[in-house]
Amino acid sequence: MMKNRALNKWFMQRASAVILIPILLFFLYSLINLVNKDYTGALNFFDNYLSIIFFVLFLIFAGLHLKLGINEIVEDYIQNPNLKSILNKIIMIYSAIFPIIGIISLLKIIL
Amino acid sequence: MVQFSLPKNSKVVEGKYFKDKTNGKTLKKVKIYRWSPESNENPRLDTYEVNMDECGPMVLDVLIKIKNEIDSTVTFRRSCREGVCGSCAMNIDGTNTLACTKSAKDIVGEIKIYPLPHMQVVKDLVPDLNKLYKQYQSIEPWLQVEAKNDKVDKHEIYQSKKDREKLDGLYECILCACCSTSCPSYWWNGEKYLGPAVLLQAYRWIIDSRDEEREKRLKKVADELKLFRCHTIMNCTNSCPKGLNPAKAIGSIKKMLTQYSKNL
Repeated sequence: MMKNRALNKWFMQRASAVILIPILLFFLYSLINLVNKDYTGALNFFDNYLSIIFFVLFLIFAGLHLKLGINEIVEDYIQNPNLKSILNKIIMIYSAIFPIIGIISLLKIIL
Repeated sequence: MVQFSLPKNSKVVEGKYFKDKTNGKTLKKVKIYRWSPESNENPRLDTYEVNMDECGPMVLDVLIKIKNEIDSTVTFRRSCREGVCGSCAMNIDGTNTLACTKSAKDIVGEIKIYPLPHMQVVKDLVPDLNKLYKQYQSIEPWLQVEAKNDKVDKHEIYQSKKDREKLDGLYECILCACCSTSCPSYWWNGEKYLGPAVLLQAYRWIIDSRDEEREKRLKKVADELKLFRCHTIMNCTNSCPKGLNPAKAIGSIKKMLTQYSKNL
């Protein structure tokens, strides 16, 4: 973590993008594998630590990257500070809730 | 919210038509944006027929011919006529460039000339660049060395050839504002974002081996709005009439910030 907030944000956006490259490849591989599987087959696919770890990482970094990216768009196009602040909070909640729900669901499968 | 359409009084309407009176054979139609603060009229696009057989090769020559021989009310800035002063920066044929270095022959069909985009217009092709100059002033564009330092008073500050080379591609900037006014981030956030021209100049002083205030300069620009509004769109590099690369300079500042991150 860097002291300067703006620099930290800029660095995290790039770092999360790089980290997401291999994770996305695994995500695509999983999608191809899951296409022809039924519910039990899908549960079996996630019933190992490797799949769970990759998916948890995917949800965390995708959520982070999404939040930083949409924040940038809001910063660029919204001039009203109050509206900007409300939208940033909504984005933060939105980008946190989905990964949390996803992670809890995945952990339920394996635990 | 950002405005995506022009207010009614800013809509450009069709203007006057000036026919060629010299019976020239090689005629070129030139459309020029016209607006005066003295009238309450909407901006208009006047059309001039120019006899190219009796005109210099550059767009600035065309403009000077129009002002001297057809319509003396056309207003534009110009000075050096050789791409050094940056005065005649305007939007020609859809691209920000210098009228004095843009060949009229390179433009197929009619020549459309507008002032630099997204700036307040003073009159016709003259934009108000005060905001840009204030931003330029804010980066303190002069060499800064410790006042106590003896070498300042007594000796020339030595710069090796290698260090001098680092300034190539930076010192050539003539501050014509073609890059900043072609940048969408500067259009939306021009009050806070410094823009490519000023950031290129900032980097020119940051990288200068003789300057002793590198950290202070980096600290000053390391701001979410001043610097990080740059999204590497590259319009700046594409439009620079001097062939410089402001996007690369901005990237270098960001890279340098990561090296100095502990002190910022």
